[in-house]
Amino acid sequence: MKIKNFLFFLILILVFSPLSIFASITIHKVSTSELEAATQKDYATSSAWKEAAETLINLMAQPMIAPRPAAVTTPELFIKAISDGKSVVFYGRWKDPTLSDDEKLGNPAPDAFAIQFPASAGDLPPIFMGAKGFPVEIAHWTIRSQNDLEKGKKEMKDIYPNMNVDIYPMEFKDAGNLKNLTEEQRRVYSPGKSSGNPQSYRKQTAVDVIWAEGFGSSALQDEHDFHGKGYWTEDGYWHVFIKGPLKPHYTHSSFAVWNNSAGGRKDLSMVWTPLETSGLKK
Amino acid sequence: MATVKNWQIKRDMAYPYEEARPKKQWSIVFDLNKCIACQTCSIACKTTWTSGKGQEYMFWNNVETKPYGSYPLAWDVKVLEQLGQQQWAAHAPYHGQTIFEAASPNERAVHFAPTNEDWMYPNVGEDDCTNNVSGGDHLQLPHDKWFFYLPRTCAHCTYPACLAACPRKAIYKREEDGIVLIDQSRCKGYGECVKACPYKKSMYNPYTRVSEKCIGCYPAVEQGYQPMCVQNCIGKIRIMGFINPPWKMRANNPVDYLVHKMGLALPYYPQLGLEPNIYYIPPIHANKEYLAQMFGPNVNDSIEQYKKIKNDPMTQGLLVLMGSTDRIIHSFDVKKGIAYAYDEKGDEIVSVPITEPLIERNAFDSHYNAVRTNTP
Repeated sequence: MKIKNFLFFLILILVFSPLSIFASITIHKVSTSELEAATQKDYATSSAWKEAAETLINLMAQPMIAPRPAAVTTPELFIKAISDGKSVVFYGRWKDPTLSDDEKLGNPAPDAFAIQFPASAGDLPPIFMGAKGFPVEIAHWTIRSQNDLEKGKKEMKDIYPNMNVDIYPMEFKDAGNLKNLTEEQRRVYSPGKSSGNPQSYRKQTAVDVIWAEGFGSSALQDEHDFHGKGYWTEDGYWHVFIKGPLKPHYTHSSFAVWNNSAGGRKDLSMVWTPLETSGLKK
Repeated sequence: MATVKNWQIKRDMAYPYEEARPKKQWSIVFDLNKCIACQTCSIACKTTWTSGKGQEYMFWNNVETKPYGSYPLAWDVKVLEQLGQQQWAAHAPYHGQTIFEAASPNERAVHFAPTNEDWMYPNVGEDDCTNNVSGGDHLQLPHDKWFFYLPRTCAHCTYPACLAACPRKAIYKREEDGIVLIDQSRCKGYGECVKACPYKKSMYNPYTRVSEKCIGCYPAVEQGYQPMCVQNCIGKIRIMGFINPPWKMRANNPVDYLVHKMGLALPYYPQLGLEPNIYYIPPIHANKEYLAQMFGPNVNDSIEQYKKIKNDPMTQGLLVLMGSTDRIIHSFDVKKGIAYAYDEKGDEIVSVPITEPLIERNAFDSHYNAVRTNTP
């Protein structure tokens, strides 16, 4: 069954990714100061990005497991990468007509971008979130994480300015034994928080790092050295920078994009793209 | 896709996971002839579970008026529209497709995705009758102008659509009592469960950024108590118990008795294929075609059965046991006009006379030397 699946997807890949299966990403060497400057608001004028080669990555609607997109919503992703030998910055650019960071009900998944690497040296893991014994490391940026970091986590009044609530039980100040509720007791009223779900807390970084060994196994890493910043431009493009340590086992990468206004389900690249680092040794 | 047995539609059907029935199955029976939409159940649930931030709009238990009410807006009309017209002859297996079978390969279930605004009008259509009463109108049975109240919790389905749709398998069905829960530590707030559940009982919390749903009051159930919405029902229209599939039916189990033995209570929208575990005694005067769409083609049998209760002391006894205790009734009996409720061990929980005894008192109380006022 696994071989049948593999062959099926190999054919799918060959049919739908005619060019990008042969692509590689050349990591352009820059100085450390150029690296720092390259994620600032004037990134478009940065010489580091002007000189870095751009690679087109073809994306597909996630094909493995329902629910999945009916058709790809972001067919093309453009990638550049620069490094000073120690840190690497990936620059992902893709078309998205709307900046989606609304946190109302209805379509909760924010616009997002992720880069997946093999988590250790050796055989490449299966590209769809790895497999048991073949873990992957994923740097996952979302506009919502970035908003949390820069502006603070939204309160209900921020999401729904016209809403009215008479009272929250955990905020009784004068009512007898509820006067001195501890933080832990207040958290009971927010089950996501009291079970320690990172989703429910203010993000301290715009980029999460996730380890996975197959579908449904993703686990957030508490400590990591990744950072990120995204800019959306009026011509309808996201420009997202993800910066992290350049580890020796980052020999390949794959990518995923989420477009909230097109349904919010995952588009991803179907093949591992080699990372060309020979230029860094000069 | 696996093939599983769905006794409500009397046939096997496709579902993404293998059949795995729990040891006991949480279930509630509602008598819709008695619901007055006082919303005490909704507030009992809200006070207990959904008074936190992000939960302001949530009604894990809600009561809506049929036919014009719904929370969220038009949930049943929209899912039936997505499913398309299907066929089901009386006393036969369901011929049509379930929401799993009719789904495109990209989806787990036929569904519609509620918008932000769809959640904001929980009282729409409340008390709206199907027609106006004008001069010369008189009572007809069934009523030609009708409405009824539909209280609904999560159905803790045997084949939940929410569970099937979760990409992270963050939803699970408990083996001990069949209660379906969203793991709050593993949910990532994709909202696929919210889209997939046809009854729209999975709800996204914008403050915690994960989804939540009715938890069947499992902390109470674990201690042998009925859920808050059942305990607090003013009209005593509800009873919670553990239902068995029909081939393991136990006639002295209250829920088995009402659903399997007497055929009085029916699941709602069984044609969707989830084998929901909340059951309704249909409102006997409402429009029969509407009821058939909601409860299946055999709804008339249940209505006729309900009309026979006046000659059936066993059923009368069970109905008076509803709302008589906060503890879960595992078995019951009716002897000499008194209904008895028993716990899991067979010990008596409560006994209730079917007919409340009438006591006449003298107008003058000679012991206290006082006149009794005319207060019943």
